[in-house]
Amino acid sequence: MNTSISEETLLAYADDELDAAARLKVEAALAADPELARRLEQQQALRAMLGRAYAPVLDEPMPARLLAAAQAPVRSKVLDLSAARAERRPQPVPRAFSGGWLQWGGMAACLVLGLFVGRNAWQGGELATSGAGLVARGELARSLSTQLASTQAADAPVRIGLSFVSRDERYCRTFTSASGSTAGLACRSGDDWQLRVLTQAEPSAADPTKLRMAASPIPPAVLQAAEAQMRGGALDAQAEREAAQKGWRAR
Amino acid sequence: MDDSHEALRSEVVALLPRLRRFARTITRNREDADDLVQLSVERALLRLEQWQPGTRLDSWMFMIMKNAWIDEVRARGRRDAIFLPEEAGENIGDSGSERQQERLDVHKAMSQLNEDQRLAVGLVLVEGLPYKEAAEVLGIPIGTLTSRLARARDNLQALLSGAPGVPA
Repeated sequence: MNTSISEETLLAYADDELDAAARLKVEAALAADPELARRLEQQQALRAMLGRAYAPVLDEPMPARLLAAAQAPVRSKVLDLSAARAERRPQPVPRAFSGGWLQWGGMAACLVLGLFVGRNAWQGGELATSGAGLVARGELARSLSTQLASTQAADAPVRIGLSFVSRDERYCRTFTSASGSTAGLACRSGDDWQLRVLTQAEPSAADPTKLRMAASPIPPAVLQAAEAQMRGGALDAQAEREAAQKGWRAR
Repeated sequence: MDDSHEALRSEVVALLPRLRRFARTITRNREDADDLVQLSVERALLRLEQWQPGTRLDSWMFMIMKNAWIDEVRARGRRDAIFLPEEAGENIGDSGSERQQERLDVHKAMSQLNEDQRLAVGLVLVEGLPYKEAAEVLGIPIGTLTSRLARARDNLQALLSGAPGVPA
């Protein structure tokens, strides 16, 4: 059957690049044209196959040198790849472990977590790595999902600041730990809260009043990120409650 | 370094798994991939102030990686024309399983694409970037991106036809 759907349009459909009207047109054509549907299926299968082939990389142990590079004080010179290779010390990076990926993946998560825990964040269990990067777990995840800024207890272990819809159409919330030492911005991604910003402040001895404020302030870095990612304004109390009731699913 | 830079660093740490995955799609082995990630993170941290708030940090990092990789490919092309062989037993997880075989087939097929096509596939089909973002990362018009992607898909289909998971 001859349809008016070009190959280009079909691929754009497979890549979720069409607007609603164009999608409907493709879907109508797909329903009427088994050959077109077969070609779409082929593209979807290819995409899924590529996804499966590279997804395990996300769960591999994170080499210490990469974590160190991201945490290191800024160096004055940047090496090229061959120099980096020559300079590199042998790394105890576990490789090609038979059946050991899950176990090592867990260790990678601990490693990343350790960076934050070691710098006075929570006691642990609040963060984990996933395919989406760093995601909230434990008390942090619970607070992000259920706590309302308008009704939260003054002594809640995690305080929620702003809630808003981001430019990429996700619900996002800023949070601050009770001590004020850790703060961040997390956005809903599937059933997870994906950390977009995480900051650690050293408790300031010089300015003890800062930590004693009932509502821990949102650090400027977090606020700035929130403002940059916000579409429209922050949610008011009613919109926040409604979003929580919908499980923070984007509209 | 000020607070916003510290926040950005945290975001870069959170992005590391994806940066490694992207590196693995465009390089041929784990060593090159991790070298590329390390180099790119170092470069990014030196110029954090060049990142535009409100734009995607992942796209910005991918752009730095793409540039570093293209430089490396050119340098290697001048030095020697020898391609590093893909690491043997790169991904011996559940060795011999269907999933493992599929992974090897995909890596092999990807290694047969040209650099431009591999970058397009990595950004759009693996990392899931919208066309507009991917085109900006590569510094090309969207139309050029979509035609590269279309050719890459045809090539991959041909290379992988008959493999389980891809209807012939």
